[in-house]
Amino acid sequence: MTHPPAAANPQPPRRRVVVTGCGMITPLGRTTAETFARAAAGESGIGYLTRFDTRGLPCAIGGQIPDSWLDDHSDGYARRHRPQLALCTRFLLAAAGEAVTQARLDTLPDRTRLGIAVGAHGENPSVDAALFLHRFTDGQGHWDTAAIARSGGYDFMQFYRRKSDLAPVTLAARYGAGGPNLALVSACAAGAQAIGEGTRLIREGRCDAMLAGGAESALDFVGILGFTLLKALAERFTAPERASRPFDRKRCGFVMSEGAGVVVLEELDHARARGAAILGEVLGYGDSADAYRITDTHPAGEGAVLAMRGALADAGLTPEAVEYVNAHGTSTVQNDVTETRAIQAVLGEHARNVAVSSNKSMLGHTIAAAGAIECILSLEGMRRGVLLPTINYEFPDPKCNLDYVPNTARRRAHRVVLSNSFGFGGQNACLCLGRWDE
Amino acid sequence: MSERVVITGAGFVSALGGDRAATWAALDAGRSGAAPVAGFDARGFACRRAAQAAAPDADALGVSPRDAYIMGRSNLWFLQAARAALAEAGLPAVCTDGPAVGCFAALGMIDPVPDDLRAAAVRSRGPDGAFDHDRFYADAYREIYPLWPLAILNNVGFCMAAAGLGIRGENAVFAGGADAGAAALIEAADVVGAGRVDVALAGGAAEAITPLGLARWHRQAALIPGDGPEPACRPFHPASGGVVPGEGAAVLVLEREASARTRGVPILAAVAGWGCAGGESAVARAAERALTTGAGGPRAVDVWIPHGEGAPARDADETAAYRRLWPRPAAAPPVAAFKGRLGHLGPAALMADAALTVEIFRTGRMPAAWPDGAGADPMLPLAATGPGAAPRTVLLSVRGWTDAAAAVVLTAGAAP
Repeated sequence: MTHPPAAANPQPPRRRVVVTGCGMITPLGRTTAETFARAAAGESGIGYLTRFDTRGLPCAIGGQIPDSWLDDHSDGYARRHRPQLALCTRFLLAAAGEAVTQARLDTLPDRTRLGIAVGAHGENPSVDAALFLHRFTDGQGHWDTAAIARSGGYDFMQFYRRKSDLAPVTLAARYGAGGPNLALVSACAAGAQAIGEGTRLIREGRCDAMLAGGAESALDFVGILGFTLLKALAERFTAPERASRPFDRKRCGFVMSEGAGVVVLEELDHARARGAAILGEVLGYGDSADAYRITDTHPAGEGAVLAMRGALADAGLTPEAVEYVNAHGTSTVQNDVTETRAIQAVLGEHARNVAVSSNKSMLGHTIAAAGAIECILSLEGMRRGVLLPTINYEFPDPKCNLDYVPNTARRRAHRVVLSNSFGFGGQNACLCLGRWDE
Repeated sequence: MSERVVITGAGFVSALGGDRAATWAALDAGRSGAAPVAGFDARGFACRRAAQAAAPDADALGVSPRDAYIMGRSNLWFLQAARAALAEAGLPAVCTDGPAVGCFAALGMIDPVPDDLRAAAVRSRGPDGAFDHDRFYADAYREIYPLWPLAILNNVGFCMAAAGLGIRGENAVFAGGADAGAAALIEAADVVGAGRVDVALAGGAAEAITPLGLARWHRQAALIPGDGPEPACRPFHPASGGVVPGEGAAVLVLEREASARTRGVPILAAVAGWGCAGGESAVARAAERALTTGAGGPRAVDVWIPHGEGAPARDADETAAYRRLWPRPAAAPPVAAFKGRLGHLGPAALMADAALTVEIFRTGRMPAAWPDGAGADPMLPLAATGPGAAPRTVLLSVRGWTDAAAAVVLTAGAAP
C-alpha cells in the first residue's frame, strides 16, 4: 500500500489487518455492489412498514428489507435452523455468505485461527408474548408458571432468538470457526466495535482471520414503540424517503432500518499467502464512553472526539491525513450538531477541506449493523473513488457547517476515512480505514 | 500484552454476601448460597433452587429511583461491585481522568417485566374484559413508562455505570455466558497492557432470576431438579444433580504493575496469560493458549478452577481436558469449583472465580468447594481445604452456553 501521508506517531511494527471480503444486505440491496450502486445514485431505501400493524404509531416508516431478498440468500443451514434464528441472524448469514465467498475463505488453512465478532441485539420481546404472560401474574410476584406451560401459548424458541450471542455463535457453527467468539451489544456502536475488536485480536496474534460485523432487525412494534417513547424517531416528513435528512435544518429524528454487514478481516501476510484480493485496510480503532446522560449525547461531543482521536492515534496519523468522514449522522437534532462539533474539534481547520456524509440519509439507521455497513461502504468508496452523498439535504443548518456532500455523489480519489458510530447510551467507536494500493 | 497487568481491586456481590470478604467468610465456613427460589412463585418450574443475592440498595449506591428502575437488580449489583473494586484499588469513586479509565463488561439478557405493561394491558380491555389488540395499538400503549425501552437495552448497565463512575475510556459490552466474562477480562487486560488506558474495570453481572430468566435457564443448562437440600449441585461429582443458577456481580480493577507500584497500592494478583477457543476440545485448547503466553505452561499451575458447573456431561468434558493438560497424574494440580455453592453466575462467572482467587492468594488457603463429605469419589482431585502450601498460579477456565471456552492464568501479586 502507498502509506497515507503525515504519519505523526509512527507505530512500532505490528501485524497489519486487511479486509479480504465484504458482504451486506440492506434496504437498498441484496449485496454490497447493489447497495453501493443505489446509494451512489442517491436512492432511498425508506418506505412505509408493512411487516406489522403500525396503527397508532406516530412513525410508521423504516428501511425494511423485502422478505424475498432473504429467500435469495437462504441456504440449507439457514433453512434448517430457521425457528431459532432471529431475523437479524438471518440477515447476518446472508451478509456473511457474500463476504466469505468474496474472500474465498474455503481456502483458509486453519479454522481454529478464525474468530468471530458480531454486534447484534437479538429479537425484541414481542408485545403479544409480554401481554400473554401478563395473564399469568397477579402483579404481586406470584406467577402461575404451570398454567403457562399447560397453555402451550408461549413460544419458548424466542429465548434463542432474543439472545444477542446467538448471532456470533451461529456464524461460528456455520463456518467452523474455532477461534475467539465475541458478541457485542453496544447499541449503535456495536458493528464498528466488532470490527475494531476483531482487528485487535488479529494484531495481537490471537487469530489470523475474523468474520466481523453487525446485524439488526428491530422493525417490529416494540422496536418502533421504544424509540417513539424516547422521542427519537422522525415523525414529521412529506414522504418516507425524505424523512432521514442528516445535517439538514429540518431534520427531526432518525428512521429505523434493518440489515447486516460482515467483513473478513485478515492478517496481511496470511491474506497474501492465500492469494486473497485485498479490499482495504483497518488502520486504526478508537472507542470511548460519554459518561453523560443515558438519553443524551454530550453537547460538545466529547465522547465522539475521544473515539476519533483514538482511531487516528491508533493509526499513527495526524488529522490532516483524513480525506473523508463517514458520519454517524443519524438525522436527530442533537447528534448531527454534536458530531459536527466533534469533527471540527478533531480535525481543526482541516475540517473545512474534508467531505462528510451520512449513509443513513439513504439507508436509515441500522443500529447494530450500521458501523459494519458504513465501514464497507467507506471501503467501497475508496476503491471506486466515490464519495457517497447525504441525500435530503435541502435547508442548511448554521450549526452544521461542513461539506456534507449534499444530494449527489462525488467522484474523488481518497485514501483515508474515519467512520463514526456513536451508540445510544454513550458508547462511541471510530474506525480509521485505508485504501489498498498494490 | 506489552506490560505486566495486575489486579488492584476486586468487588464481588454474591448469594453469600454483599462483598468479597463476606462471600469468602461464608465459603470458608462451608455455607452455600443455594436455596429455594424467592421473589416469585416458582412452582411449575422443574428447578426451584437458586443462589440469589440480596436485593441491591439503590439509595446506598446513590442511585435515584428512576435510574434504579432503568438499571434493574443485575446492573445495580454491577455498580456495587465496581464501587467496591475502585475503593479497594484506592481510586476515586468518580474517575477524575475519565478517558484514562476503560471498562469492559459482560452483561446478560434483560427480560421485559410484564408488570411494566400492566397499565397498558388494563386499558386495552374491551367491554367483555378481554384484551383488545386494537385498543392497545391505537392508544393504550401510551400508558407504558417512556423510559421502559431503556430498561431492556443490553448495554444499559455499562452506560449507567460509566456515567456514575465517570468512565470515558476504551470499552465494550459483551453478551453471552461465562465466555463473555472472559472476553471482558481479556480485553481489559489487553488495553491496559498496551497502554491505551491507565486503568480498566473488567466486570460481569449475572442475570437476575425472574420467571422468564429461570425459564431461559431451563433451556440452556441442565439444572438441578426441585428445591431439595444441599448438596444437589456438586461439580465434578458423578452424582451431581445439575446446575444451580446464581445471581451477583464481580468487577476487577486492572492496571499496569508499574502504575500500581507508583501509586503504592497492594497488588492482589497478576494476569499472566489468556486464551480462547471454540469447537472440539475447546477447554483444553483455550487453557493451552493461556499457559503458553508467558504463564509457564501446565506444570506451573498450582490450582485449576475450571468452569465446573455441576452438569455431569459438561463436567466430564472438562475432566477430559484435565487429562489432556496434565497426562501424568503425579504432576496434575488439584481442582476447585465453587458453582455448587455460589451458583452459576453466567457472564460474571469468571470474574467471580478471579475475585475468589484474589482471596486465595491473600489468605493462602482454599475454601471448601462444597460441604464436608459431599465430595467423595469426585472425577478430579479436589484441592485440599484450609491452610497449606499457598497457591501462586491459578488457572481459571470457563465455557459458554455452546462450545466456546476461555482460560485466564492469575499469579500471586507479589513477585515470587
